[in-house]
Amino acid sequence: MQRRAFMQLSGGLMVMGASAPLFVSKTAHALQAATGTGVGGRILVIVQLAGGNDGLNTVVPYEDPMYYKVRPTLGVRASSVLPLTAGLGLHPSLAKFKDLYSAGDLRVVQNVGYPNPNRSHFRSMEIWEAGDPSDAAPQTGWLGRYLDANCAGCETAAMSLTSPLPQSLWRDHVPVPGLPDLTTVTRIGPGGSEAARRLAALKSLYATPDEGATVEAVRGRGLNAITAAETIQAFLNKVQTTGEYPQ
Amino acid sequence: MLLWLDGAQNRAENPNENFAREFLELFTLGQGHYTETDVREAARAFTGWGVRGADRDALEFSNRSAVHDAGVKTFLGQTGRWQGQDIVRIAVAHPATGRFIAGKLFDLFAYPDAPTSAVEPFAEKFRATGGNIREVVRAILLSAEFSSDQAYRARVKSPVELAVGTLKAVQSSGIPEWTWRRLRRIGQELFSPPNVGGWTAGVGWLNQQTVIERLAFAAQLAHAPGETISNEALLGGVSAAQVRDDPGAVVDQFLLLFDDGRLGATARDVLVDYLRIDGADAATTRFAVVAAQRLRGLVQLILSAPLSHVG
Repeated sequence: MQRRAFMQLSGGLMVMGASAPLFVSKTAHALQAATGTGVGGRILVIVQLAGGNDGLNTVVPYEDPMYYKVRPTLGVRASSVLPLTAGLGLHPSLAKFKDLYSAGDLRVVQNVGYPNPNRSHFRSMEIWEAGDPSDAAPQTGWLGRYLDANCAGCETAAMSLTSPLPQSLWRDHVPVPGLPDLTTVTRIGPGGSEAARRLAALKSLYATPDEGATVEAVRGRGLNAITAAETIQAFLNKVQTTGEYPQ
Repeated sequence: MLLWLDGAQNRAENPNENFAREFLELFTLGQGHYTETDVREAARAFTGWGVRGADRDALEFSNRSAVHDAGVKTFLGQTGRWQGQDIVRIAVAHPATGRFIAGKLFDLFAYPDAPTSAVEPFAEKFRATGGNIREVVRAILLSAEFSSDQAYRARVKSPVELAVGTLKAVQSSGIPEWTWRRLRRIGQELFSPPNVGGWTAGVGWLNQQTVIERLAFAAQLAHAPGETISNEALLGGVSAAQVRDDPGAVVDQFLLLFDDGRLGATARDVLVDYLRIDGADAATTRFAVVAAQRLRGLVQLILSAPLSHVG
């Protein structure tokens, strides 16, 4: 399947393509405002494409006879790959990635795995995002544990643009906001002092401990969402964004 | 499932294990109770199973014998010229399947994360009745576990449970059109789960966006419920004077409408304070306007409160 046809099929990706860059940029600004810039004033952006990528046809071992033996038709011809290093080259449609590679801005990590995968799709994804094949029921992710270990006390150490929160960001302590938007709620109903009174009561309800583990779990998540929404909104209100992005 | 899990690609000369693997992992035995060989042999037996039809909403099951692998298979220790239905039969009879299915039903109707000992009687019921779901559900609903303290407010309501329960509470004559859009945003579009494993239940329903969307559901129901819900049912026929004179009694009445009335004293105080019409407003004829706003606000707040999302 051609990539373009795939993009047309996946409506969600089209939306991302049209709206993500501005949003990402604004969010990065908001994050910068929130964290007071982070290490060396820099922010790490992680784009996680969760799904099946054909690694062997992305980074092609074009000098390995075994590759052409097992892929007599699917294999990418040696003459068309974009060579990176001895025996390895990119699929011909990744020309811009080749440019990034040549400029030293792209690197490839190969052969990452763990012994004896059990082939369950769900378990495999869980292990990748947890970064730990030994834990039978991981409650944290590899990024989440980094945050817990290094970002205690950070007001907003990381943000996620996707819902639900990817497991890689699951953590014990450091809150990771998504992009909840409380105006989704407040634009319904009256405004003015009545809206403010109502929002105050809502926050009080979520600040009041209740009996029962499940109610408390709901309350905790709700409080987290309301707080994050207010924090993010305050930052977004301050940010001016300029610049154009490819569509 | 045959569409999502490559039934069409599962052919004798080139079996596709996707359907067989998820059948065993997600719908019968659960992880850890079968081997990779079992998956491969089951896939062979399922070869030929597919769907046919031009209309995606009206597909029919199709068993394409031409691409079925008619050879001998060994699955869960049993050997024969198994077809797809044999795999289903053998898997359902396996003890692990009874525990798996009974556990899911117990989660759904009683409480989550139950110990094996609590689920075992219902697993036994599954086995004894040859996998009769109705009998297993009946046993769960009639059990002491079902009405135990442990089961009280132990589950996070799914978006559909939240919507249906709320609409029933306000005696809606139907499902308002806006419900479907809201449900999608709260994280549950019926017949469209995120993957073949279904939705992540429990607190998995709640992330920062879906929590906010639940709050928006409450706001919409209170302010723009649509014509299937009458103002009288929604607002309980309470007068402006009652709001002004005894906000506590009004709060208690509404708590019974949406829940069983058991709310912590502090949370109740929050609601009463919200509803109370303050001095300046109470003294003028404006109090009726304020009271109408506050009643809808009270509905919104009760439906927004943490307790409205557990059951």
